[in-house]
Amino acid sequence: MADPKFRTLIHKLLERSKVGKVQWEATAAEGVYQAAFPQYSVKIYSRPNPNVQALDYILEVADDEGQVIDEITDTDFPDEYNNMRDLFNCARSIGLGLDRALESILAALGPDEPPPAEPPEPPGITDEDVPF
Amino acid sequence: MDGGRLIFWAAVASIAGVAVSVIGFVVTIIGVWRSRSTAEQAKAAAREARQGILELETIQDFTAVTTTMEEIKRLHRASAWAVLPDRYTALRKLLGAILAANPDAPDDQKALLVGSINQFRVMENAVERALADKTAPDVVGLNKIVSQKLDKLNEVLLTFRLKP
Repeated sequence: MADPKFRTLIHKLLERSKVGKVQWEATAAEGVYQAAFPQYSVKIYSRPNPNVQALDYILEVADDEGQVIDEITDTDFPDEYNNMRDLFNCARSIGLGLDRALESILAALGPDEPPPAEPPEPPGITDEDVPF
Repeated sequence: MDGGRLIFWAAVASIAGVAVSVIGFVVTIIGVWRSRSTAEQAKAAAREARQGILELETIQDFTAVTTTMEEIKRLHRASAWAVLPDRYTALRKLLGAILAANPDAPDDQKALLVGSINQFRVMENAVERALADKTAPDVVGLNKIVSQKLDKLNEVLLTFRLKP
């Protein structure tokens, strides 16, 4: 059975990744992203599940020599599937530099322009306007 | 010698004895304090020397790391896949030695070293798998990762060189 602390790890990694506090990077293995900490590192990747039309997400924890200490898949915590998928997508976005690219392009496009002012409504016709 | 004079000289001798004892005690205390201070100074000097040697070794290890990484890039370009796993292992050992010798390094530097060790393990596995599958690894992708790590490790090396 997977250590329940993994659930907390998923939540914290996702929360910190969303605000850019986790430095994910791409690795030499395609589709594998890692984030390093002072003594350990984590890796996340996906693989097709042959039984269902969906991907499995795997999170590994490695020591300071790169040896995998433990790993979990979304099947260990079925209710965390969406969080693990979001974490993978976040890691991918940061690892490939997609988030930086989008921010840079959006900055180059400039701030949002105010919406064009709506034309004034034509004055309503009253009985006084009718000559007869 | 009459009794009064004898008592006088006995008192003088007694006082002189006490004075000598006190002076001796003070001299002993000063001697102990000085020797302790000297021992502590020697210990501090030894500690500083050891730290200096460790920093020098770290700089040498960093230099070896950057040389090995440049060599790995060249070997990637030459598709010398069979010799690369040994280079990755040697590199990981050097990075591990730097990490072990600098437990007080800032967290971001330690994370960089841990991340680099992990990257080169993944790289080693990827190359081993490609060798087994008889496929060609992505040279551009591999060298991009090596160059990124090299740039960051060079920044850390610079901080070690600039240490007073």
